[in-house]
Amino acid sequence: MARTKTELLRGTLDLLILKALSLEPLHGVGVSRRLTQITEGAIQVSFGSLFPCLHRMEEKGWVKAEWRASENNRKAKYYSLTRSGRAQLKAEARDFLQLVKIMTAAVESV
Amino acid sequence: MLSRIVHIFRNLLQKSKVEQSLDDELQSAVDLMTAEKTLAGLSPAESRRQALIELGGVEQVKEECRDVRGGVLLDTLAQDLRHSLRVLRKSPGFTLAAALTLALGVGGATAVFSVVNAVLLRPLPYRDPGALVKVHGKDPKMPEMLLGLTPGDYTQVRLRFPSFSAVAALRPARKVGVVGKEETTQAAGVRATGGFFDLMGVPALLGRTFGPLDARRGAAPVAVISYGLWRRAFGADPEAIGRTVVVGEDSAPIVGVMPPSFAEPAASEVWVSSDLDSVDSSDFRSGDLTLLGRLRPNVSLARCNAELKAFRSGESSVSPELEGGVIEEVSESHRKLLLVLLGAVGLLLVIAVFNVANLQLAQVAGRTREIAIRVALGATRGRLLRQFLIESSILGLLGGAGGVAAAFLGLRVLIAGVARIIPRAAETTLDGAVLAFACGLSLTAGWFIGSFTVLRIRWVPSNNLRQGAVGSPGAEPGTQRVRYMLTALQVALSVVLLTAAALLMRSFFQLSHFDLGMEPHRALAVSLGGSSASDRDGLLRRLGAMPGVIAAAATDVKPFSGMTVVTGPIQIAGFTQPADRNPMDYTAATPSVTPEYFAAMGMRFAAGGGFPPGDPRSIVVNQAFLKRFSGGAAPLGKMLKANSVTRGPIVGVVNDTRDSDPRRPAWPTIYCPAGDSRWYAETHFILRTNLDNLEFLTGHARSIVRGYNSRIPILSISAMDKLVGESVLMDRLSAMVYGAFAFQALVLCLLGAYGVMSYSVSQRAREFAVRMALGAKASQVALLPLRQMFPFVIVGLLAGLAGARGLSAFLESQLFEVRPADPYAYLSVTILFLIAAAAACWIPARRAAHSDPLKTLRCD
Repeated sequence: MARTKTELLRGTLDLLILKALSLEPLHGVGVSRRLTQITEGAIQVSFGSLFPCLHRMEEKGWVKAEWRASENNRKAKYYSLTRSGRAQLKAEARDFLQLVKIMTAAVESV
Repeated sequence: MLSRIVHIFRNLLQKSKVEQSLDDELQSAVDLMTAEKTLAGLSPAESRRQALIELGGVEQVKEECRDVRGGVLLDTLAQDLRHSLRVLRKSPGFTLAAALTLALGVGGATAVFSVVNAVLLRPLPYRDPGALVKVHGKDPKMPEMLLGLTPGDYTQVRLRFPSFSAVAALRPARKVGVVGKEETTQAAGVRATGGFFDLMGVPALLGRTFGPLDARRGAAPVAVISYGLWRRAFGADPEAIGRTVVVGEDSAPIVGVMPPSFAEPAASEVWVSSDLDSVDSSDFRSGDLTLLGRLRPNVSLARCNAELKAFRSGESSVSPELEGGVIEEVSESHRKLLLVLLGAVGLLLVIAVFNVANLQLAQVAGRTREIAIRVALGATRGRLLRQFLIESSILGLLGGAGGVAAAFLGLRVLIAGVARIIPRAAETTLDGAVLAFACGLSLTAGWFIGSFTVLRIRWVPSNNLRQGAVGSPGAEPGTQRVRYMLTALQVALSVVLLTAAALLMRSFFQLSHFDLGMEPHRALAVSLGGSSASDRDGLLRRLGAMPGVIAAAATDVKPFSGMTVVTGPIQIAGFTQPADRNPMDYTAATPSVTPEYFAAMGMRFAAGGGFPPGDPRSIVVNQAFLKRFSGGAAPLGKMLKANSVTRGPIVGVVNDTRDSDPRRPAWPTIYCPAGDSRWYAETHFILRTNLDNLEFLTGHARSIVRGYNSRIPILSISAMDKLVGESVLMDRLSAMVYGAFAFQALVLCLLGAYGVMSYSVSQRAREFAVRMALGAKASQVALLPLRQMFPFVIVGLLAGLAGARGLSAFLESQLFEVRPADPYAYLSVTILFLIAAAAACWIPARRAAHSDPLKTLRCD
């Protein structure tokens, strides 16, 4: 993945992951696939970024993890949003939309 | 928040569990993706390969995950700590050398700082000491003299001066003795007004202090004694309370003992209550009072002094002006001595730090491969920086611990010497402030060394790895230059210390070989406390009759005590004095002596002779007196007036002596025949003998005095040359302490130069071998590294000499008959240093030149 793309993602990776997890609990690979799917392939997150991000959110208490069987019956670590994770998603989404609105207005004003 | 803390603890304490979980998770991710790709139709092996590629390196992902864990900082810190300890343990020689060097530097600084802390920094042990003011009288014509206040002055200030919230007065008390179980002990005492102890705000250690009630008019006086006297006279017996203090004709019961730190005014041992507060005096004629006042809140000393000046105008008194100052127990010269000493140990510490920095540069140069590998494996610059800082911090702390231990041991010696000269130095302890200082110093030193090293490291891994292959670890010409420069700095600093030591030693040598104008060998001084003229004459006969005594005399001023009794103004018939002289210049010392004094001291007559026996009026003067008062001519037979009292005729002129303070030129002196008062505070017998061993005479003299009258206190009996030695103790101590520091600095500096030289020689061993194999002579080869190193040594030496010349002004007050620019001191340091440095550099160079070139070449 191109370096510039990661840079772009840095602030928004949390938001994307929270969003991906808001529908259902997922394991790491599942999160990656879901992100590719909801961004229609525009964004691919490296596992070197994804796993640290998940672990950090777990330590912050936004997501919780548990081991269970996957769809094809393999053991996997599933992440799901906690209550504070949902609140975080809401707050980050609101902030992001606001930023986009402001930036859009600013960029299009000329 | 709670969840974070829980995770931090889990990360730190259950590390293997957390690691296992991470391992499992990545494994499962690979499995999931492999299954995915197999479903998509790839072969199992290919699927797994693709999955691993997509994951992007299991170890890298793991490392990324570890970096975001809570408590990662603590965790890596522990790792770095372990690694540092391992590195230091692996090179014990380096660690030991570095720690010992730092211990030397930190130890010296800590020891001296602890004395500075006790003497200069710790507040005086009185309540709010900053608000206490000591008021003296001042005559603008003699600004250097502090005059006593009159009772009238005190009454005025007590009743009308607005800036003080409380005042007290002290006056010296004479004839103070403490009546003990067996004998009476003489003591130094003052009479103090009732408000004194309340003003100082210090309670008694035992019993009570006295207050206004004890000092009412008509109340019987009471006494408080010092801790030192309590131990000396009563052996710290609590029964001392209630015993008697004799003050002149009065006697007062002891009501309390003060704590050891209480000494106001300095060296006081007895405080007796005085009823001065209940007397409104208008006596402005003469006085010996010291006034203490406590400033009201928000009144500064400057304002107080301005008010004192204004307050005073209009009064006529012996002291035309009043001036207040803060209470100080340390004189300016002592303060200077301590600060200069602190500067010296500071220099020593800097030299030590440079030395260790140099050592570590060499050690790190040998670790280029390790550093290169760590950088290649992804260690960040910050991580390496931290690692080195931790390493050098450990070194610093090791050195600091050693230093504190050394300070603890060395301090006893230092205090034993200093406490006899500087008040409060005996209270020196290694307290919290000192330990904090030592700790801060060690860490700062460590960090400096670490940062210095890190700045010199090359961060290009591949290059270093390639280079590091054979025999030339970190062979950067830049680093070598830096090490030479460090050496030059060390040289400069040690030369500064060496020069200071050389100046002080020369000064001390001058002082101890200076002609005192009298003969200090084979003479005994017997000092007695309060006694009468008839006691003196009786004892003089008995002491003079001891076998071995060839001349015996008595005087009222102790030789080499620094004390002088002066009288003035002096007028001689037939000589007029210039009018514009300082009033002090009209005064002369006026010791009372018995006829044999001049013979007993070993003085020579320049004209005339001694007192005719039985003549109470004739006087003898010294040559300084002639120079000052009669233009050099010997006015034999002339009369003079001293303080309006006619004395004379002058029957003799003796040579000048430095028998008060060897550092000072002789005072103009009038030797008067000893009188016949009923009481003298002190009497000193001078016994000239032809014996070499004075021990027997000392014991004999003691038993004679005891046998004559056991109530006369013996203050001391000592050989005259011992008194001379004690009077120049401070100079000897300075010379010794500086000598010791300078020697340490020299050793450190030479070790540093030796180390740098050995290292550079070892690096160029191959080159030398090749040169020698091609026919160069051993001596030629040995000169090569010397030629590289020596310019730096020379530059350091010159800078050091220049620096020493600049700083030597600070020493001027301590130098006797030696100028700060004394060429001998500088020359001897230069020669000593050049020889020592040449040896330190030559040894490794020679070793390299004499090694077998074939062996060296085969090694690679």
